[in-house]
Amino acid sequence: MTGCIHGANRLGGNSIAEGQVFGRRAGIMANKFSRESKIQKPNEKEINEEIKKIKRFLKNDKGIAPHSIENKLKKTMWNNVGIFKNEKTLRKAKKEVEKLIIESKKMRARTKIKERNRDLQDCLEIMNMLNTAQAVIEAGLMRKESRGAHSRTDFPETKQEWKKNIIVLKSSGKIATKIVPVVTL
Amino acid sequence: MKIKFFIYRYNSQKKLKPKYDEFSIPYEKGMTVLDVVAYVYKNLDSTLAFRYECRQGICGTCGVMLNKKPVLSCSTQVDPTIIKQTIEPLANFPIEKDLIVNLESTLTRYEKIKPYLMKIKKVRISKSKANQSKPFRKCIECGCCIAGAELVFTKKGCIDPMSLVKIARYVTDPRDGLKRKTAIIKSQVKGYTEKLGEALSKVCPRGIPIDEAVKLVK
Repeated sequence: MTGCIHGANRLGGNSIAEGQVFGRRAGIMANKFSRESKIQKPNEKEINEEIKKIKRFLKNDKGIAPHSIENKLKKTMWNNVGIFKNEKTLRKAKKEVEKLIIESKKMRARTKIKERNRDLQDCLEIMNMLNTAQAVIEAGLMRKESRGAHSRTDFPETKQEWKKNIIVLKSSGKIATKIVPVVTL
Repeated sequence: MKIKFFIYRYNSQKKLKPKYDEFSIPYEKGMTVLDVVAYVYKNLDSTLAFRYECRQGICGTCGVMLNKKPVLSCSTQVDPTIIKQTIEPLANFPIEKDLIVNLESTLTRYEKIKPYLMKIKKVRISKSKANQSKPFRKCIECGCCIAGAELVFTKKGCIDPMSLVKIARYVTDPRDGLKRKTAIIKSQVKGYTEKLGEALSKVCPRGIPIDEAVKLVK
């Protein structure tokens, strides 16, 4: 969420500058890379798993509509993980998001139409939103200081020891964090 | 209080005639057209197709016709004094499904005018010079001008207003090195009368002076 050239500042508009500069570089490199590498066969297993993931929302006839989870998640994040947060609100949000993740297993698209199925799109987006929310909360809990747009009311000062980046990973359903030093030029 | 909305329904994949579905929406103060559409989708009919992204009038994806006028649905509030209202996809576009239009032909046309800086001149620009292109830089490519215009521009070879604004944006930018004005043939802008330009300016949700763009390009 934070880091890179904008440091701890991550408010609206930053992504434009980063996308323009680093998106261009990534595009140039991808072009170069694709010219130098051979065409590889895509992993069938991975593709099938992804298809299964998408189709599972279309299978059930009963379940929860995606927007009901979305509304709850938005409310939780807005109330507890806004610019001003503390240990208590973050812990509360963490619990609620964990509950929502369990609830999301019952999530389903209410319509099975193939063309422009917004419910299905919402289901997929909400799964990503839940992951992102978890990562934000985890990193917010870990960083016991205030820096840029991250304001912990229980740790209002900026600390030298936290001049670091937190990386949040998720592998086989478990959240893991990693602390890496800031790159200095 | 409830307001009746007639929403256009069509699916280009199925060969059925377009129809209007009637929905009764509980009105809340400050409600936008997008709120109405989202209410229908969430509570009344989950098959409704519509586009939106940012909810704040900057992405240009949520244009619809509200009571036959093109608007950005996210930044247009519902007028509670009208009891029966219609929501339709943008006019003058082929319709894909319900409120979603097919932008392909428009974007192909748009690509042809090279909507980006070309042969960039590295010049220092004063604030006032930079401001000349400012009104035209506000364009978010929502397509409301295309939907709101009389059909003049859909004549073959005629430039659509969205492209016209983009041309004006680069004509007024000293960094652009392309001879955009001389590349335009008279017949491409012939249909743009002063009156049409003024009407288009009124339609634009971003308040771009399209009449000025017409004068600049002509």
